[in-house]
Amino acid sequence: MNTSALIKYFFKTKKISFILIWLTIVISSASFYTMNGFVETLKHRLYHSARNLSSGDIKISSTQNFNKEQLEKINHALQNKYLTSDMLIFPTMAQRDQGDAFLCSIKAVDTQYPFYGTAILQDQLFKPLQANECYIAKEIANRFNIQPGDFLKIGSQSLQVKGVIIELPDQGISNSSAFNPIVLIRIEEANASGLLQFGSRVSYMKLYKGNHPNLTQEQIEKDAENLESKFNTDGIQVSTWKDSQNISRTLFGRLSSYFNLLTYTSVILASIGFYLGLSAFVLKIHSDSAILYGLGISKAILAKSLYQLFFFIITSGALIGLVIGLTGETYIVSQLDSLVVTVKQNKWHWQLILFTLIFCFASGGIIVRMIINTWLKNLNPLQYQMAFSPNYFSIKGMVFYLLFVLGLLLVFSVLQTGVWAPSFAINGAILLLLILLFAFTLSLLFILRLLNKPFLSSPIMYFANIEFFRNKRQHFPSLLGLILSSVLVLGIITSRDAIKQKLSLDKHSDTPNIFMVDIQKTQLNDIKDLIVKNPNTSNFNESPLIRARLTHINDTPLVTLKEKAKQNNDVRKLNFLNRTFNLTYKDNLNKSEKIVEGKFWQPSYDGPDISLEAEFAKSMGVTIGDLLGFDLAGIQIEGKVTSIRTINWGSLLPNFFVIFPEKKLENAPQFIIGSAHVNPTALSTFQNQLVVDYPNISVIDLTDIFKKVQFLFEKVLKVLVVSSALCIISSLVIMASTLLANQSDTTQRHYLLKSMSMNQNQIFLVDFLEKTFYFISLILATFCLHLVANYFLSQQIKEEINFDLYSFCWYCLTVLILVFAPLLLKLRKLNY
Amino acid sequence: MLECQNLSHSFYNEHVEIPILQELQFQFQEGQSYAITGTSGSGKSTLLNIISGMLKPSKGQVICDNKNLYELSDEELSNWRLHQTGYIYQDFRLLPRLTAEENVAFPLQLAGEKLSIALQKANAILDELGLESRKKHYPSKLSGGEQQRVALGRAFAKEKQYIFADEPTGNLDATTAKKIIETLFSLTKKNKTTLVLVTHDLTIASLAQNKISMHQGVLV
Repeated sequence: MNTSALIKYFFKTKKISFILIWLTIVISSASFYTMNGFVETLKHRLYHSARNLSSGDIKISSTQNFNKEQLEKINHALQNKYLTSDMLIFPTMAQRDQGDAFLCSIKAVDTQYPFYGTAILQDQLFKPLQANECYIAKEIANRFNIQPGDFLKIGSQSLQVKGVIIELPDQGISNSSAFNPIVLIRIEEANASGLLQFGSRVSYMKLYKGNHPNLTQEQIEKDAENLESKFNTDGIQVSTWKDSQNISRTLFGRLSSYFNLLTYTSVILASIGFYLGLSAFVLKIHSDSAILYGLGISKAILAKSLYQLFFFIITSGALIGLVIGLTGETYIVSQLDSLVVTVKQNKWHWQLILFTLIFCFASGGIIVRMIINTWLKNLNPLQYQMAFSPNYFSIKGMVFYLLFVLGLLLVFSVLQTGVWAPSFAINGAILLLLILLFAFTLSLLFILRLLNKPFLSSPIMYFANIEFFRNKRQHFPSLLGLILSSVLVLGIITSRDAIKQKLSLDKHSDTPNIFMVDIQKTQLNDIKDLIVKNPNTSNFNESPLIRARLTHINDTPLVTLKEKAKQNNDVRKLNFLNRTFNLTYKDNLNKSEKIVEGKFWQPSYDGPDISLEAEFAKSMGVTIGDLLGFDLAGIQIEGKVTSIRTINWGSLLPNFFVIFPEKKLENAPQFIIGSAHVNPTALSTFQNQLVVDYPNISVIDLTDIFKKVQFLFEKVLKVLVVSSALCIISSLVIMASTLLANQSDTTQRHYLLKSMSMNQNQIFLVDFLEKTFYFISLILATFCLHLVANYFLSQQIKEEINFDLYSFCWYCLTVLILVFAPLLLKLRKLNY
Repeated sequence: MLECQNLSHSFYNEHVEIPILQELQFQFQEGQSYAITGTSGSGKSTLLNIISGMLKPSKGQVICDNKNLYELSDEELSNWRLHQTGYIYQDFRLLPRLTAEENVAFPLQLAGEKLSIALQKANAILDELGLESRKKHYPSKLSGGEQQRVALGRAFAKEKQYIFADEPTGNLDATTAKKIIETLFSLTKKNKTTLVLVTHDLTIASLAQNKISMHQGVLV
């Protein structure tokens, strides 16, 4: 028998149901591809390019130049099995002739650079620099209108720009063009610039590339370990490209888990919508199918036509979803391009396209088979009205389906990331979340039902109560879907506001808007004079800055601390342990600091006390009474933590994680960091003059930095909005499917109640009360879970997230309209 | 007394008038039982729906206690149906999410009874109908005969002046149908209720005190 006539009939008569089901497939496919596509891109950049990111097989870095003894140790340890390359990185001011000075990051390299990967220049091939030449980042070229051929002044050197950098292989995830644009120069010019002074913020690096045919990765690791053990107390860090990959893996894992969370939520919502849509569809076609079956069309033919129809729907939905997903991924990459250096080539993630299609067919196909087979089994030509039968949604069926979808997502996650544990963890977390959501919603409904009891004397209230609370199969799936998407959307809104708050500056007219770094002690009085005499500058604050390395915490040496942090994959702590600290000394707190624990010392105190910043102390696991040891250019110093303080970073005053008493460190090798307010219109002039008079001093334009951060943040927010939009559309589809499924049931109920002598107003009241219970359940559940989500989010972003009443009211209003609009628009009048 | 005066009713299909009832005049006396019979399409169910206050006629009046039913407001008419009439359908029409006893109690609640009293009365009548063990069951768990008995209980839970039954045994087997009809007639006799029953079964029709035959919308 030709099934096409049957297919056309079903399609023509149940168009709306098909559209809703098709939309859920599109959303599923689009969400799956969009987020996973971006994660794929990140993975390639972070993970597969680890060797490029590390600049070599082994990297040795220090804040001071390597002395003869250290070089001998290195050579002895590595035994000529490696090629060597040197690199320096430091921030400084640069200036084009007759142009404005700007802050940049100098990367000084030799002719071996890069050991791995390819540097990409605009309109030309990369070749090693010659004397007095430099390459500049694209941002410098665009922002300051500097072209190849122009000259750039860096310290005492004047270098000709030979090309514009598009991408460097060791740039990493963060596109430093976003903050300090790169200028690539030769090491010889860096040495001759006069900028490499004692105390300046230079990173000296030695890079090694294996040059021996028998050199295995295990040998490289052994060599690195051997080296590390030789430099335990020298403040020199040794790392291999594997270390870089491990850190990347953790970073990638964390980033991808956030994106996976969004993907999963979107996919789960779409799955709930699909299930509901399919169940509603079955309800709708039941009468017709029973009649057709009675006329002689077999169940097998009915099944065949429906499977063909759904195959078409799933295929077209998946493909359209892929197109939308690709667009979404392109949009996300374009938004985050300033932050993440992305892989420009190969935008087609073929494997992911295949995964997406398989996912759609597997998840859609299995549930179509399950529901249609079950329905057909019970199809009876004599019972063509399902209206008075139990409604068709099975919560057990939906639970089974969601578990199946989670299982599929787990498999794809493992295939994508190559590791089981994080995939299990995220799936487990989602499952737990769903179970908690289920349990919480059920409990809330139970409590609401109990609270309703005093009002049941009214028959209308009594009946509406029964209709809502006993009809879980119809209300529950849509409640779950709406609660989930509401919590997600509200979470994004409130954390956006919290982060915006964090990024906002104090608005006073003399709030510092520049930092000056690398001021020598001998220059301090001149700088103060300069600020005072200049009518466009004010509010100068200075702090001494002493570079130091952490050597131990209590009895635990740094090496052991690092090992523990590596084992625990505590990237944040590892970063703190690896870095060079900026200490300061003073006897008075500034207005942005507040002691929250312990006691700050009195002026002229010279004891070995330390005051720590609160978040830093928490990350390091350090508290009052703990001992911290530092190495200050060879001098060992130890202090006991006696106070912990919070800092309002938005004040833009020079603030430090670690403070010692003035008498303790006043004679240590140091330079000065200062902040000041400069009239924005006079900022360029001030900067240019400073660079000429004091070429060692770098000026950081804080307003510019903040603007850049806010700009990047807005881009990240747009990405979140895209993914939450998919969730919102899913939840609207869920609502529409539920309405559609309930339609005939509601109509029948109206007629029943009418025949039982209820008047129009009473019938309307029953509907209204039912919707009210639904609305109250939704709002209460969302409110409670939103508070819980806020707490967890605040732990993640380390910023307090307050409940935003304004946003919540808007949300309530939106939900109110969505829930009650169908009721108000379709006031049925029954015939007399 | 319930009286039909010049009752006519038509349906319209794309502006074409299809007459169903034509100029009917009849009186239903108190305490009597009436069986309306006729071929399919004769207008039996339409007549029943009109005289029970469920369908407004195209022309004519239905007078009850000197009041034209269709000049009452929706509230007044609903009130009349709630307090004065009971209806038994061919397809039972029980509320699916209420148990048997709740289905019977619900109209009593609507009429102003407290829930506990309503349930008490519902239980009493369900016991009378032999459904003691099925009170807490939902309609989907009841057989056709049991559902119709619940519907009977719902109709008779409160004393009513009129009971309207539209093919009450249409979906039942012969044995069950017989039991239902016997119960229906015994309850109406006991409560001295006016029963108006639509049926095409002449055996059932013969049990009624009065027979009304209809053909093409006219009484014969």
